[in-house]
Amino acid sequence: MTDWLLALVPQYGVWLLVACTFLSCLGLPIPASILMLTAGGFVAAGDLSLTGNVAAALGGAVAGDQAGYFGGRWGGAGLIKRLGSRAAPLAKATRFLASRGGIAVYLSRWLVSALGPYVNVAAGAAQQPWIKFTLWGIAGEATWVGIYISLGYAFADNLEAASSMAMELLGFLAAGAVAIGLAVWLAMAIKADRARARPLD
Amino acid sequence: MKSLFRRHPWLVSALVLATVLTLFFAVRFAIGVVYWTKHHQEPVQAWMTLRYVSKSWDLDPRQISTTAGLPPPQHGHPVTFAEIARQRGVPVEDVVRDVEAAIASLDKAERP
Repeated sequence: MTDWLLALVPQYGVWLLVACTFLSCLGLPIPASILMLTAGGFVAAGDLSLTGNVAAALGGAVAGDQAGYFGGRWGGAGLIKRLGSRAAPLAKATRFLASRGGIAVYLSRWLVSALGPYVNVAAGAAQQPWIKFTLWGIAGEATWVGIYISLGYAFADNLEAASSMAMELLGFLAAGAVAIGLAVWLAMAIKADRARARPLD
Repeated sequence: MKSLFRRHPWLVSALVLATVLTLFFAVRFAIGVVYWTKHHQEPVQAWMTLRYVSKSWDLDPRQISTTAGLPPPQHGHPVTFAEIARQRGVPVEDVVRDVEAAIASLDKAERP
């Protein structure tokens, strides 16, 4: 399976990266990170061009984000209205994105990239200013593309070992993000406990 | 700590699990880095190209292509060994074997 995936990169080069980063930003389960890493390896070997591949990955990702954003902008508000009170958490998320969503957009590009596609739609539905979404989004995607292409470039001598390392890194980032989220949640719960206990003291 | 677990059993368990998973991946990643530093020369496989093999084994791509009897690498058009085998109508194992033999002899000549 990995072999088959690795073989696609030298064969289809930049077009493969455009398509895969675009689709993965729409939420399709495509191993775009591994493909970028492989492309980085072939760049180091001298088979593919650095600028071409960075531009392709970045272009595909940014276009995918925009598609999600405008999907949310044109379709999201109606969805929230239809869901009524059941949409309360979604409405909360969209309010948060509208007010302070820049950093959420940035981090959901690369640190917790599984959330990226949902943040795109939510940012559109929350009417987050387009320029703000786009600038934070480009910064985030540049970080994402930069990490994996340079990882592939640096570890080009053994791409199979490098791609399994990238999987561990992705697991580490995802589990770490969940752990941080849970720690914050627990801290809030403890604070609430104390606030409740105080009147009884 | 005990009372914290009693008050928030699910949250504390989930946090412990996520932390253990984070450490697990961190250790696996570290092992991967150590493995990588010792395994630079990747065994030849169908998805590789001449330039890729030459990078992994630190050999001249043209020398490999001449020794293995393969077309020289062309700029801007990377060809995998699988593709070369398909064009020649031979099993990819044959091409891989030729490349392996070329690497072995070149490697011996360079690093006796």
